[in-house]
Amino acid sequence: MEKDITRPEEEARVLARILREEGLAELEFEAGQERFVLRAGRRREHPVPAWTGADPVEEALEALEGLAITSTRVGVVHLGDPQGGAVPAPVGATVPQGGIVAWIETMGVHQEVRSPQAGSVLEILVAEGEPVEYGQVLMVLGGG
Amino acid sequence: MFKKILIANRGEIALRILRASRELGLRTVAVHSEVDRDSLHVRLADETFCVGPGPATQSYLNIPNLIAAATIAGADAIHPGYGFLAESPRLLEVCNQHDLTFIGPGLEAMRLMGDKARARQTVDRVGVPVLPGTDEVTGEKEALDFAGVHGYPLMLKAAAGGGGKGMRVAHGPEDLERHFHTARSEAQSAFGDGRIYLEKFLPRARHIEFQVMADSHGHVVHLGERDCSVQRRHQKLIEESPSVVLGPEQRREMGEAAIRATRAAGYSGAGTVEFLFDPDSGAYYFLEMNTRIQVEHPVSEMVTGIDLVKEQIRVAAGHPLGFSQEEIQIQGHAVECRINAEDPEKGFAPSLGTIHDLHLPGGPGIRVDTHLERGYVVQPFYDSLLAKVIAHGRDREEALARMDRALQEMQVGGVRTTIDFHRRLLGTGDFRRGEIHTTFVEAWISGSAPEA
Repeated sequence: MEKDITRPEEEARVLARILREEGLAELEFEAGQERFVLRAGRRREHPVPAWTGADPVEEALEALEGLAITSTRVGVVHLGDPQGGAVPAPVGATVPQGGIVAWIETMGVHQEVRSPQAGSVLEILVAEGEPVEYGQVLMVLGGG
Repeated sequence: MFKKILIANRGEIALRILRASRELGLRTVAVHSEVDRDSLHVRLADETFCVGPGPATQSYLNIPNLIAAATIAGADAIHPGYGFLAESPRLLEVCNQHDLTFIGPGLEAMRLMGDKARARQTVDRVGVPVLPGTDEVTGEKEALDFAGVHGYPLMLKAAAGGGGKGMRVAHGPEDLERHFHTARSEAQSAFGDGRIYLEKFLPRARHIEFQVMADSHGHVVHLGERDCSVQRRHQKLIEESPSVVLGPEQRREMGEAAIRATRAAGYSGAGTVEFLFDPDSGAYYFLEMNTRIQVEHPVSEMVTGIDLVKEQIRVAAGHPLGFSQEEIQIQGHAVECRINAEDPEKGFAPSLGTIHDLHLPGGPGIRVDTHLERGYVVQPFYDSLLAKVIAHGRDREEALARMDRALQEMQVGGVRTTIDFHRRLLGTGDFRRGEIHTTFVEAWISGSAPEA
């Protein structure tokens, strides 16, 4: 285990391989001051028979930039407050740990999505009103 | 007809429903847990939704997520398969509220037949024999009083029950007192309903069930019987049709009783009326009605040539049955073996692992319903059914020879399976002669059954 991995990208690929080979759903690791989560990706809408499947490793690598906030249910995502319309977590915003970042509407009920840790919103991967499935990455958070 | 069906299940039955849907020209929506994302039924579906993590309570039993997936996908019907939510009045209710057709019976029929005590009363009123038994028993005293009148052995059963859970046999007053509370708490934890009732237990009886189909236009037919007497701890292992112990008269009489029970319940769709049959006296007793498509449905499909799942979907869409009672002919003999990921050497403990080697049998008269493929991981979250091997032949002898040949060919590497156990069981003189009953397997395992 003395292998010297200097490039973070290299390290990520090694870990991604472990993720795939072990069939894991999620893998956390630290590099320097930052903590990363690798998550096996999702797949939707497979035409048959031309199904090839998105590579979960590639998708996990996409989420490498920071902490992925995922959907905890199936429903329609709302980035704005269902009452007032204010968007609590646009790109660039800083969110506290436990802060509301979005809502998922399931059978008419709006369930809050909260940030597992403090950070700034690097990227939003869903559009307002888009259907989402369980585990789908909604947004990516950078170190606070 | 529907345009798009959401399949609220996994494994072989999800695949079975997907195939029927596709043959009917319908689009399919698969749902899956995180650990099932690479499953065959997911890869073959037109659209897919991950509905939760591995544990079924958070995924396959998650009604809000299933309904949200159906709504988002624009599905017009939900097929629940068997197990999971197949007999959930709650899912049916929510489907009704969201303009989704639940592929199964109506709410009243499901509730009625799901309550085992009410089901007994209902069929009793239309002249279908029921075993001597009680309504809900609330105390030990009441149970002992019933035993005083009817004698032992007795069966304690969950009112909301099914699948062998919450069932206990009492051979004497000590057993009855001991099992009374166990059965209650088991029923409470398995079904969220601790009500239990008592029934006379016939240890040497056969389990014979009739497949029924009913449409919303008042037509009810039966598709013959399945003999499911080969059970271990009330879980069926081998099913066959027709039963060797039923003559044409007996079949007609029990078939008509099954139809009366189905009508009395106001039932529509595919269902199964289960009976206990005493081969010595020829007497039969209603056990319960299962309000779903069953694991063993292929046995009836093989001998009737009717695709039950397609018919179930057609009927749910409001079409009349595609055949009359007279048009249903039983052709030859069919037998099904359930191949489970279990270790018969270790008390049938579940065996987990990755399938690294796989050969499925084929050839004349063999059908295999399975979701297995190389690389498939047997997970701890779900039941242990890996595959159903079904053999069809001109007669029982040919069907059994084909089954034995198929099980010899079958290779599943990576987990322990019940393949060899089935071969040994099929080879016993008792099974060959058809002299089996519901406690035969346990007796055979413990070495007390006479060998030929």
